[in-house]
Amino acid sequence: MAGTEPSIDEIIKRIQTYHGVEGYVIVNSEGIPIKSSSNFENDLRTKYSALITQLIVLAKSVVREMNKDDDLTVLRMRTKLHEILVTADKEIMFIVIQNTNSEQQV
Amino acid sequence: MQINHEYKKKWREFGRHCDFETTDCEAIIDFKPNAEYQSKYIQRNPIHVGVQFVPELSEHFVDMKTIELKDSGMTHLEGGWPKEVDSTQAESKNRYLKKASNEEKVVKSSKTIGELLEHYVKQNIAVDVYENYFSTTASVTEDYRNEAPSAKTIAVFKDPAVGYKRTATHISWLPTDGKKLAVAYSVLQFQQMPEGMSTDSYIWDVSNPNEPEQKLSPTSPLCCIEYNVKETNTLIGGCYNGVVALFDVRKGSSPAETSSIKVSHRDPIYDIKWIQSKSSTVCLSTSTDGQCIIWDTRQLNEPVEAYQLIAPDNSPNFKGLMGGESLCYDITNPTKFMVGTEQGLIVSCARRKNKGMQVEKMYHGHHGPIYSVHKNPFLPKFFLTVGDWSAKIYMEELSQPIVSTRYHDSYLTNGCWSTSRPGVFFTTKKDGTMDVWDFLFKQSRPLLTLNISNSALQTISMYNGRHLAVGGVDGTTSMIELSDGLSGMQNNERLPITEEKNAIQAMFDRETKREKILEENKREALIAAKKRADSKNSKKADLFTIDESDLKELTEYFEGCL
Repeated sequence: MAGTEPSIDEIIKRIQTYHGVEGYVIVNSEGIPIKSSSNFENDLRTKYSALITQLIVLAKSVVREMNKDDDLTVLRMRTKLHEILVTADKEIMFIVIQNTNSEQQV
Repeated sequence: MQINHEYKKKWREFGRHCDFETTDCEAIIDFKPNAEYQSKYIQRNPIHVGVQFVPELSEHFVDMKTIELKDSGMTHLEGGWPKEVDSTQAESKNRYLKKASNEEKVVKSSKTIGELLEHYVKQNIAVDVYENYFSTTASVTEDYRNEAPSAKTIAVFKDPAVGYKRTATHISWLPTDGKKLAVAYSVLQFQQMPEGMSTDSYIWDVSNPNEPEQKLSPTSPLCCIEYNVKETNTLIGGCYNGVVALFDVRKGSSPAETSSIKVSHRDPIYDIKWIQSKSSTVCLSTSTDGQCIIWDTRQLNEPVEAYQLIAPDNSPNFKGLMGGESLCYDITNPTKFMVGTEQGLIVSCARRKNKGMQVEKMYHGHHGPIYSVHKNPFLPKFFLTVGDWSAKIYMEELSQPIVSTRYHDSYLTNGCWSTSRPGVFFTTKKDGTMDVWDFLFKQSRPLLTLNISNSALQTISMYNGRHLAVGGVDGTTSMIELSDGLSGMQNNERLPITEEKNAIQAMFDRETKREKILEENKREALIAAKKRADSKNSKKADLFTIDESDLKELTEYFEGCL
């Protein structure tokens, strides 16, 4: 954990600046949102962490059941309004909500 | 009779253990059958005591109280905090959060996870992964002409009258949506109406073929009926006794108004149509008494105008009064209408202000009464007529048909064009079959012949290009749905028909030209014959006499060649 590696806050800052990102929630292993973007109110935060935690557990079990050596890397949920990206491991879960509809060329 | 048996035992022997020993059988008493009793014996007959050896069972049922089960979810507003954190105090929550986010394990894994996530976010920005690529280009439509044309009966409405058979003489669809149809029932055969026949006609709802939705009860059975396009609550019906009856669906089953019998037709009204007018209350009726009468439904006791169908003096085929059998009225041409007559002629009339009705043109070619005249909805210069054993298509300007189907085995009773495909028309026949003709495909034979019923079919009415209703002599009305190919629709949307329209127009134009040329030739031949007759001063205008001088010339020429 040298100083050259980006800290967690820097990563979060960078993600927020990307185009279309509406917000993020970081959930720990107990399901408590430890960090989240400012535009999410408390109940929205709680909703995301509660619902997505359950979903991730199910998704992980699906992947593991299909193949023991496999593991879930990322879960993308494309909805009508935006896309929910979730990456998770044992300790922590990152949830980012990104708006992809008004996509223009780079 | 008592049976007693005595034995003696000493008192001191009581209580002793019994000692049994086998002995021989000893008959103690013997009763012989008594003949006297036997003669008195009567057998009991009948026996009223039931004897049965089965286990006795009993039945008992219990109706339990139903328990209502309900699935319900719970919304958590506050997360699942561990025990040490007091969820109401923001401070303790914050403290806990800070502690959790600074845990070593958390920090380490968040770095890897965060980078991974960043990668996906960037991916999203770069490419819209779920873009629909080919939605803008028109979806590939199957050429519906490849599939075999078909039609099937989807509903059958039977006349509720019992004991006698009434013909379904006319059908009118509700113009706004094809969910209802009004069917007029009557018996058209002369003096065949049974005593006490019901005069009712019905409005059927398509979704309920078992029972009519509404009854319409005029005083005399209806021969024809039409919904008013502008006010779909009113219907006009023409009765068997020549009276016009106006019905309002909201007002019940008896007519809202009827015309007075003095001024009405003297024969059954065979066709009635609503006419374009400002108040949308004007209608036109025709009957075999030779009259066409225009009525205003607000005042049915007197007709607006009554015309007589008299052939103009210069018509070559027919002179005098003609009986009207069928009407054709086109809203795009509001002052003109066509009447198909009993005499086999079609009369095109124009209604002029202050001049009354004038017969403009007469078309002939049919050998029997014309039961249907119908203008092609896409090419209004051409109209279809059905009568005798064939159907003919006429062009407005020519008095002879341009196209004529062959003579069928059975009599044709009615016909109409398809409202969605310009080259398709339908005809009903007396043997209970309906023919579907597609002129684009084949001109000599019908594309499809459907066996609708065992009894003759009387009338046909088309709603949108897909559904049509056919009424039979036995009173059953069948609703038929056409396949995509025949109706020109796919997923309930009309496919563009400009190509087809142009093709059919070209076909008809070609036939028209042919007819015109033939007529020209005939006329020229007549004129030439007349000239020769005049020049010879002979009364006979014979086409085949050869002139004397011509004969001499020819013989000289011939001898010269030898």
